[in-house]
Order: sequence, then C-alpha cells, then structure tokens
Amino acid sequence: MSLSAGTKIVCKYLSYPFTQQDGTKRYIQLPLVHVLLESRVDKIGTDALVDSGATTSFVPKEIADAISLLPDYPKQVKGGYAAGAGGRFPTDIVHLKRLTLIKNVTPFARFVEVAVHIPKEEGKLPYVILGRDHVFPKFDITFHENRRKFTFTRV
Amino acid sequence: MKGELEYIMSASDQLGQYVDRWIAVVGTNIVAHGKTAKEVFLKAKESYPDKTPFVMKVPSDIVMVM
Repeated sequence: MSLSAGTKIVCKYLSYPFTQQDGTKRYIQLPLVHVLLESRVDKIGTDALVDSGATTSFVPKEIADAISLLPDYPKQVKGGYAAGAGGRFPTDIVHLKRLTLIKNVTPFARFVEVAVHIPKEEGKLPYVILGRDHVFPKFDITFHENRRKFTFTRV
Repeated sequence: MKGELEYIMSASDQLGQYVDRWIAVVGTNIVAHGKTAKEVFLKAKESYPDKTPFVMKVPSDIVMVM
C-alpha cells in the first residue's frame, strides 16, 4: 500500500459509446478511478472523477445515503456551499472513515478521516469527485487525453 | 485479476443501455440496475452478502462544470 516516491500507477479512461435520442452516436470518455468509500456503518465501491479543477472532494448524495454516511442527527453536520461555473449549491460536510484508491483489485492509496462535501440534493453529481484536497498532495497526476490514460505518480 | 471498474471498461459496449441508471457490479457481473444507488446496492448485498458491491451511475453525455 505505501508506494515509494516516483512509483507510477497508470489508469485508463472509461470510454463507451452512447446513442443520443436523435440517433447520433457519441463517446463518453472520463478519467475515472475505482474507489472504496467507508463510513462508520458500511462500505461501497464506486467510481471517482479525478478533477484538478475542484478544490475539494465530493460524494453524491445517493452514494452517501447508501452507506449511511450522514449522521442521524443533522445538528452534528457542518454545512457548506459548493460553487462553480455551474452555480452554487448547499452541501453537508462529513468525514469518510476511509477512502481507498484501487487499480484492478489492488489498493494503491488510502486516506483516513477524509472530509468530503455531500450535496443536499440528489442528482447534483453522477460520481465521486476527487478534488485537490486529499489525493493531489500525495500524487502528481498527469492526464494523457489523447491516449485516454492518466497517471498517478507518488510524490 | 480485473477489478469491477476494469470489467466495466472491458464491457463498455453494454453500458449504453444503462445510461442515467445506477448499476451494481460484483466481480465481472452486473448484478443489479435501477433508478437509485441505494436500491441497487441493497439488491447486490442481498445476493452477495460477503462482497462489497461496486455501484455507479452510468453517466450520459452531460457537461460537468464544477
């Protein structure tokens, strides 16, 4: 699990064809990495977008609800806001017990007590967003857009 | 050995039918699909109680701007 400095993990973009309602075919291509999210109650595997444009990390409300990430008592939760070109929306800030990045079946990075934002409304995000707060300080991340790959290099 | 996301990548031609829906993958099988993450997570856990399901929404061609 503890990678030495300079170790590279190369991941492929998720790429798949998608036929639009007007019949035209498009390709979705996204730098998604497999993550394991653990709350105090449960754990779930899901996909996460590696996003150098996000200053913080997000978990979709739908995924947070599946593993009971939000405490039962709303007063225990700190509120926040996320803002971007797409607008501003309210969030809850909670801590994941553990966040693990995985390639194939092998974990290659683990973070504990990770603060994440959860949009208060469903449908705001289709996947976890890994912003620059936790993963980027530990890895130099390079996007090879034309090769549909991205590389994590342990700092 | 392939993980669930790598399986999804290799079976990407099947994903178009699930656009905008949630799917649960265990090993190399899509074991549940539906409208909510919780629904497919619980279905997958019921069928595979010893596994940790991989749950994702198959994204449509939306523009993500954060």
